[in-house]
Amino acid sequence: MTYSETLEKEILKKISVAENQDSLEKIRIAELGKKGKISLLMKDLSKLSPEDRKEQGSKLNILKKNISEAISLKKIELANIELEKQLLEEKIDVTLPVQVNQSKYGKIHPVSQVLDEISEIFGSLGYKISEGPDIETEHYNFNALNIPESHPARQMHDTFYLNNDNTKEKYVLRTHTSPVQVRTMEKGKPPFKFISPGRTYRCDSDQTHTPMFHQIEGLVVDEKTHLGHLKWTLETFFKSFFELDNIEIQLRPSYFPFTEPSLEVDVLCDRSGPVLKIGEGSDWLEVAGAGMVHPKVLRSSNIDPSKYQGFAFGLGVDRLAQLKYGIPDLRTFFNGDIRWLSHYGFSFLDLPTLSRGLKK
Amino acid sequence: MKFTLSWLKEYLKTDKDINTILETLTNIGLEVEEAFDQNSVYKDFKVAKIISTKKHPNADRLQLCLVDIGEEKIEVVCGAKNAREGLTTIYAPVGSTIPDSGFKLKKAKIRGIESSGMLCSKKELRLGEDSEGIAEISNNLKPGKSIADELNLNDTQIEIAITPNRPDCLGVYGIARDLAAAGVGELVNRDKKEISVSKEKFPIFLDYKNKDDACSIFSGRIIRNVKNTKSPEWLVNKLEAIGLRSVNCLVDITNYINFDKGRPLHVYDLKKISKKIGARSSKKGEEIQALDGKNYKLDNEMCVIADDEKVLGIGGIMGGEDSGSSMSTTEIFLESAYFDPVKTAITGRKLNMMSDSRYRFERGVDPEYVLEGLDYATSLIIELCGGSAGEISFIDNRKFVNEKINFKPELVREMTGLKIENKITNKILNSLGFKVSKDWEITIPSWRPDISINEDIVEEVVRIYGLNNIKSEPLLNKQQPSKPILTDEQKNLRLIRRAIASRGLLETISYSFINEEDAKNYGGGKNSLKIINPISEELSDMRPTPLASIINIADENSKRGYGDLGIFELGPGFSGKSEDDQILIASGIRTGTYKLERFGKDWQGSKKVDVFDAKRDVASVLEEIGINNQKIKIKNSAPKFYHPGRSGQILSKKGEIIANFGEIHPKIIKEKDLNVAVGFEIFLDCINLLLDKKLIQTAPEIYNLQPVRRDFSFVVNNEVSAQTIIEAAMKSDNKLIQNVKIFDQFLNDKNKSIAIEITIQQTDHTLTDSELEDISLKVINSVESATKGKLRS
Repeated sequence: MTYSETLEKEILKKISVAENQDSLEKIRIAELGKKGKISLLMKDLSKLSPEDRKEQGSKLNILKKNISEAISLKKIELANIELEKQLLEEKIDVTLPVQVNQSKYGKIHPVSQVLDEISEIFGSLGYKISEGPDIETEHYNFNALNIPESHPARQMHDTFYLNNDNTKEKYVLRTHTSPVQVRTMEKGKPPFKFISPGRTYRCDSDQTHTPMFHQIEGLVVDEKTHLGHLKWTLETFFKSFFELDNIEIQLRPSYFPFTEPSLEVDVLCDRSGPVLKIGEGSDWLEVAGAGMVHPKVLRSSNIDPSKYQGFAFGLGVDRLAQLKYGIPDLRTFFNGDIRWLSHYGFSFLDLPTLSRGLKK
Repeated sequence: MKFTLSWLKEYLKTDKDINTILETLTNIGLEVEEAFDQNSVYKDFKVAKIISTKKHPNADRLQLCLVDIGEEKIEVVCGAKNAREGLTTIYAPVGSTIPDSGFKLKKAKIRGIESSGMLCSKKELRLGEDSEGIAEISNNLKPGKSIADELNLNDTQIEIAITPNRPDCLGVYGIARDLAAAGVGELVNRDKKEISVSKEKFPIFLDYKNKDDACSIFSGRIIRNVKNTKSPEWLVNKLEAIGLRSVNCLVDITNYINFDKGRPLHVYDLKKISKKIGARSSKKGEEIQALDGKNYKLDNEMCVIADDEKVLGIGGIMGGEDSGSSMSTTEIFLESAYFDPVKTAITGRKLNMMSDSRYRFERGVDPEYVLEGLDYATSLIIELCGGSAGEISFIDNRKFVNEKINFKPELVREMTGLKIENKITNKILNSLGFKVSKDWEITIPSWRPDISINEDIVEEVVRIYGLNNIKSEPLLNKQQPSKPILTDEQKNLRLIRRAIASRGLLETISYSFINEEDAKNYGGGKNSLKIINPISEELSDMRPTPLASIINIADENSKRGYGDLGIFELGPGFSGKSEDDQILIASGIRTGTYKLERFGKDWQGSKKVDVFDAKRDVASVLEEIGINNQKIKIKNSAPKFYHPGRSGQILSKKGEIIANFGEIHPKIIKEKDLNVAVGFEIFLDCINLLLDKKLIQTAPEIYNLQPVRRDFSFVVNNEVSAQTIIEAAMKSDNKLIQNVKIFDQFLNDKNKSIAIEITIQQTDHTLTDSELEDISLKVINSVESATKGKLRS
């Protein structure tokens, strides 16, 4: 083994055991620095004969190159180790909790959701949406709907009256959405096909009644729409709304001053279990009031009843929401308890469409 | 309207079972609300005889009764005081359901002693009102037998809902007529009994002269030498079965006919009437003590029954206490009259008086049955109380004539789609009492005041023929695929609702009314928006804004332990009664620490909500529907229920108010369980005016050159708004300056230093240093002159 080979082995060993960048740098200076061992050997070359100089020179160059490379490699190795060490020191407790996106807490009230569902169904059947004010005149709420002052039906309505301020007209909080029938028909020309959703008010409060609730009115007036069409429309609506094919409805004669003939609509249901089930069983559940629009109502809307006829129906929106989503107590709809709202509310992304289905 | 099956069968000859009858009632519009079938309810209850009693070892008030129930003797725990040896009573075995409570009996230990079944009171069994002690029944009955058989409890009590248009079914006879028409049986007319009449005629008067007056027919007769007694058992049972209490025989007879034929009558004690009796208008100041024991003050337009001295009763509603019959009554005047529906209803409502008579008169009784009803009552009185009747006195200013309608039978098909043969239509109408001529002129029976037009006749025909025979006929949307139906307003409303919810707020729906103090706090409380008859004082005023409601909701939630929350409501606010005074407002609030990043206690820290949280909600929602900064300006002019220094108003460039936002005024939430609340109101009606309805947009301008950013810092007076600085910088070069951002603010006593970053978009060439220098100068000049401030050196 030549001297330079022995030296190389010796230095490489030193490099391999260097513990950190500092000790490696010390090795570099000791061997390759200006006064380093290899540098001094290079200087000493001048003292040799040209032949020896050439031979020794090339050996020293190889030695220098090998040592430089070894130092560079070791440097990278040591840097990696140090980074690893440093990163480990930066460790934090990743089990600390985070709060999820707050938008998750935003919810749509079941009544709004159900109104969107209902609009979707009637929209596809070609109904427009027509709206009217909550504060109504007695004219629109009663008289124009064939409910004169003395009518016993007025007592059934438990009307809220507003203070009178020197006007002749008495104002009430509308007891139903039916006034929108007259308001809409007055403004247009037949044929009509629309629904009117909205807040309605009655002076009544117990487990199944709240002083405010929601109704949806439907009206079709043209030259030949009759009760057969009404039956189909309501069957179709309930099938679509409850997403059940086996909906069965029955019509029962009833009385509303603004329709003639008047009827009530029941759907087949099963009350035997803890949860009421629609579409099966042998009980009937009242879900709508309906009938053919009374000629007097058409006349109060400036429409000729000898030429035009049609049907109207009214549905309780809150009740439909209760039935579809199994919400027991009506009063909880309007008291704003955030636990209830979070539980029964719908995600804002949960937009009901017919193609997707109206359920989540 | 209550009645029993056996009572119905007095007028309806039928072999149909009870279920068919009940089903038919509902199907023809007489909706069955309850049917109480005694036989099925009572068959499990047994006659029981108490053999011996002893004290319960662990309870003073209870006894242990050894009871003979036929096949065995068992021990029953009983708390009734009248439980004693030898008493025959009623035993409910384990497994039976107590009719009154619906409670199903289980084997149970009562104070440590097992009791199999129980002994029942009449009330518990719905056999009477008596709840004191257990039932006491005849000792002749044999223990172990079912009480359904032994006590003859095999009737069915039926309650039906009568719609206001059907006064004719407020008597059992009318119900039988409807059922007969529907094919359930045959209507039975009972034979009239001949009455022998004396010549004696009592003088009557009728002050009203027109047929629409409060009283248009008045009649009556005297009956002498009656003996008023307790009613016979059949009559007591009949009345009790429909929930009426037996008073005395005379009163019971009139009550009975009221429910039997729907004909109200009244019995006066003749000795209390001076000279003559009749109907007239009341005079202001008159008073009467009515049969309900209450004193009523009358005005000058109520119909009263009077003699020549005093008021005896309120016409069609209730008799007076003094002139009524009692057990000692021997001479009576029996009245049968016709009172106008509208006027009777008005008087009844004014006096707040309800009675079975008013109920019938205000719906319309049969004007042709006045005299027949009088005779019917007379014959029953003579039969049960004896006596001799005088001649009828009768004044008729009504002169009833049956109305006639020219009917078009094809209307049935046109309105219902049902193809009913004319022959059948004719038969149905006849069976309901209508007379139909060959050319379809229809005479309306006197007991049907609800029928006046062709459509009414159609209803009669289809309700008897069966509404369920109507076939569904599609009413399809001709437009396929269907056209959109929502108006722009309706679309925005839906979008805004979901945009707000996406900010983490929960949607609430609350009542549109609030209390007066709240209404006033939020700029409402006007007299004209007060409800005359509110459900409670807390719900007395129409709210000016839903914000008022949801702050209370937040308060209630906070009291339940949920103080950090965000809620919103999209609902009406009212500033007056007219349609235009009702506006749609989307209103939301955040309380406590309910910030978008995080809320509640958190290791990363949490902060209280501030005005910028509310502003951010509004700005995000507006951005979502297409209203950006360029379309709006912000002023410091929010209403007084916001913190005056920490609130703002967003206006359109034209000055329409789009939204309010800010901290809720500390005075308003002082009383509430909220330490801080920020809120907003977005006015939906205004938003719709601002929207761009362009569907196709021009292509966006996308440049290859990088934007250049430059920072500036200005020292301005504290009163200078950020908006002023941004606007000034922006307009200094509208073409090249794309955006202005405030990125730092440092406040001193009078002055503040505001740092802005300008984004300059190079378009066609890279800007030279001198061009950039020019823009910088323009920005500095524009901001300095708009703010009277200085660039910070």
